[in-house]
Amino acid sequence: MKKKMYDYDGYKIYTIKTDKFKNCYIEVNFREDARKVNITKRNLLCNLMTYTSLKYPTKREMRIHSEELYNLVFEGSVNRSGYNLFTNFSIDILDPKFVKEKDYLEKSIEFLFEVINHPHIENNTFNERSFSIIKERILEGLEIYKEKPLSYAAIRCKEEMFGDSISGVRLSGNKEELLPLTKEELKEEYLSMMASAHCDILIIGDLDMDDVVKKIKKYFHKPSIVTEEIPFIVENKIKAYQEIEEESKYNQTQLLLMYQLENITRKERFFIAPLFQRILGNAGMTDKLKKYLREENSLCYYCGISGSTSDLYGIIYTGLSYENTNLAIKYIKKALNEMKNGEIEENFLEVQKNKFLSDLRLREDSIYGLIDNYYLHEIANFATFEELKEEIPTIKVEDISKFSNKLHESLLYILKEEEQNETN
Amino acid sequence: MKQIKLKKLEETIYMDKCENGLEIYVWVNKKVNTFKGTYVIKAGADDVIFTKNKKECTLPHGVAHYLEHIMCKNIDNTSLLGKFNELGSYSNAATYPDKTVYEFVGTENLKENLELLLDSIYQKKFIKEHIEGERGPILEESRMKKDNPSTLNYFEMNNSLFWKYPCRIIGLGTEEDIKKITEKDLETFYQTFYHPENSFVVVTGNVDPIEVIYTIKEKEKQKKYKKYLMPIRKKYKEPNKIVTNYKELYTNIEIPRVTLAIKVSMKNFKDIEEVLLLNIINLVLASNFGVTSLFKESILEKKLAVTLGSSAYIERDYLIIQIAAKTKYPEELLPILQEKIKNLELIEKDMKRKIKSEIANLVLSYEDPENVNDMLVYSLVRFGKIIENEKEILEKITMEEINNVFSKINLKEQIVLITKPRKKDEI
Repeated sequence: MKKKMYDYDGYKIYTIKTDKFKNCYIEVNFREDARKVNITKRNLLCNLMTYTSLKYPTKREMRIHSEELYNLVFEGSVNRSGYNLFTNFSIDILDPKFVKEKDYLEKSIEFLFEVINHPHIENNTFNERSFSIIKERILEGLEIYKEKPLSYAAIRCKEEMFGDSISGVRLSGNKEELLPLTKEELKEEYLSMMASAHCDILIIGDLDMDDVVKKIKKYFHKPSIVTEEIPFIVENKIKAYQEIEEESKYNQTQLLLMYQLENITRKERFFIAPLFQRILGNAGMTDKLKKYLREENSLCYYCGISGSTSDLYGIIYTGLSYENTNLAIKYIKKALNEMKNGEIEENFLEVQKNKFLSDLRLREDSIYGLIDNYYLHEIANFATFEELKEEIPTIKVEDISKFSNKLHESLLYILKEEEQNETN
Repeated sequence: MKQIKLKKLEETIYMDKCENGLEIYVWVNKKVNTFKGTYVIKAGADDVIFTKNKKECTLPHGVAHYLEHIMCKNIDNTSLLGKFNELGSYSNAATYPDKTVYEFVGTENLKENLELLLDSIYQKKFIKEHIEGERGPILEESRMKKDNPSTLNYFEMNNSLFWKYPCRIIGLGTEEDIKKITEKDLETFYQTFYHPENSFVVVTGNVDPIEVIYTIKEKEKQKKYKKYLMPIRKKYKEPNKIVTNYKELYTNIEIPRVTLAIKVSMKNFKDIEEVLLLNIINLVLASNFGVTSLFKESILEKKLAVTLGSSAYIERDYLIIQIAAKTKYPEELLPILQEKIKNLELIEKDMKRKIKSEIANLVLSYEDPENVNDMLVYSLVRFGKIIENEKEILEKITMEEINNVFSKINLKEQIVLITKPRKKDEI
């Protein structure tokens, strides 16, 4: 496996040459400061660019061309890490050695940049038909999260916690901003992204990278050089503890405890936080939450932790009967206190370290895991796989206890199940 | 050890059989770190009525799933999944209508993982406290499913399609079923179906097939199983007719759904291999209702639907074809879908392109050990064998065959399910 970075005036190309996979992956990333971008607008732009282009005016034509290229998978998405907003477009293709056509790779690259360089702009504005279809589709989809009680509860939690901070903004945008958007504004959004975003291209596969880079240069020119530094950590103000209980139409109650983290070091962020999460709630059936909530007290089927070390928060969650919420809160707090007091069996910590390293080897089997890790290390000093392998075995119970004491419980959110006698 | 060569894919499946009847299948990829091992019992949620020793036995629905939970408990009430964790592996168990699977995914300690998997199935001791302790989590799992619109939609549809089949009832069983399942029920299911002659093991990834087969055979030699009594599963006499042709479901959704399903007797396709049949139908459905169809494009353009998809599957003696859409206008969309299904387009150029793209998918699918493991398990349970010539099957599909298949599809038994948002005071 060979890593190499190419630095051009307008963009950088990060490559990994490896014969591990039968496919190859190319991703073009436009990276900007999320505070300066309207995310609703950006999400609409990204959806529109994967639906239509000047040469392929409909999704149908785009897809037919992809099928002709041996089911090339073309995708776009908007993601965020800290204040960095990534708008990316990618292709996933067969390794060209499996294909008879000698120009397969070239045609695939040409397709990707055709769509990026020439969106469906006619007469100085986006095509009305596609614009209105995609806008409508996003509008319809905005409320879909309400069909999943846990997703709904997590979004409500973040709204309550973060308000207008970037940590509380949904990447799909919101109805109020979406409704008045015009296709003219969207064209400006496209031009702004092309001009002011950092542009990074990621490539992985068994390819002659010098040759691929030459091909990319042939199809993609980005004149502006962007040097702005964008932070990868959002430091939200620590909030005073509050409790919120809301009624719902669901059958099961959702109980969420949100915590914030303060002043964490790089070591804590990359090497200690993952072990903390495993020991507290993400180690199959053996972590503290499963032990107390499920195995010993039969209160729930699922429980665990999610969160972000870029936004410095975590959410402990479970689904259960409303009548059991007080008991569950007692056990969650007990588990948290044990973490703070360093009541962690050495042997269990060792098991979790080994499991972490094994999971790391699984991630090394993922084409996306490999290139992401390389890229995020280069731009944001994320821990490399090599670093993780070295550092994880050195973590001690005291490190985890110290980290646990940087945790502030900020919000207890209960989404109460519907009263049984009210409906169906 | 037998080698099954997958034609034109340059892939090999190694196969062997233990003295006690347990079959072993191995696929190797030396380029990755991962391996996955799966123990499959060929019995699942649907196997609630059967005859054993000339005695008919009826168990509550949900017994296979409850047993799966109990199998994951060690004698000291710790979790079996925790033991796999100690070996550095992730593990899970799942109950399907026709099978129950226990699996691990890891990168080290393959031999120990395999031995733990085999031991966990053998001579289960049932402990009352474990059984009672697991009832709460299973009831919560059942309540969680009631908040899942797709699950509710699926079972509402099965209730409308089938009169007799056990797939009418959710695999977990109803809350009443879960509450009444006893230790004896669990033991009966275990003693009836958990036998090497009714099971197989699939191991995929960075493994040595000789070592895997040797480890499993040696381990199984130490186990003493009673003679397998070969239970006779209840044969359901399912009428060709559907139960009802229209149903409405009210649940917690934001956008209504319309689902159109067609029930076709498999007797119509006696001379067609199941793999070929499913491939042909899915190709035609994709070209008529998928992204490359003019029909879908026009439906989306007119904003008559937000999503539109299709699928085909076999449920025992019936082929089921489904078209599903999320739409604000179910009543307007429905007649358009019904008209389209009567007039499917079979265009050779489209078929050829879709086949080419399916072949690319097939080539790519033999890379990820977890994916290959799932494919082999599916194939062995669904078709009772490894499909050796899937690429060839795809390559040889002709327009004549496609027309032949579609000439045998009768659209008469057609059901419409409209799922609408529930309003709190309405129902």
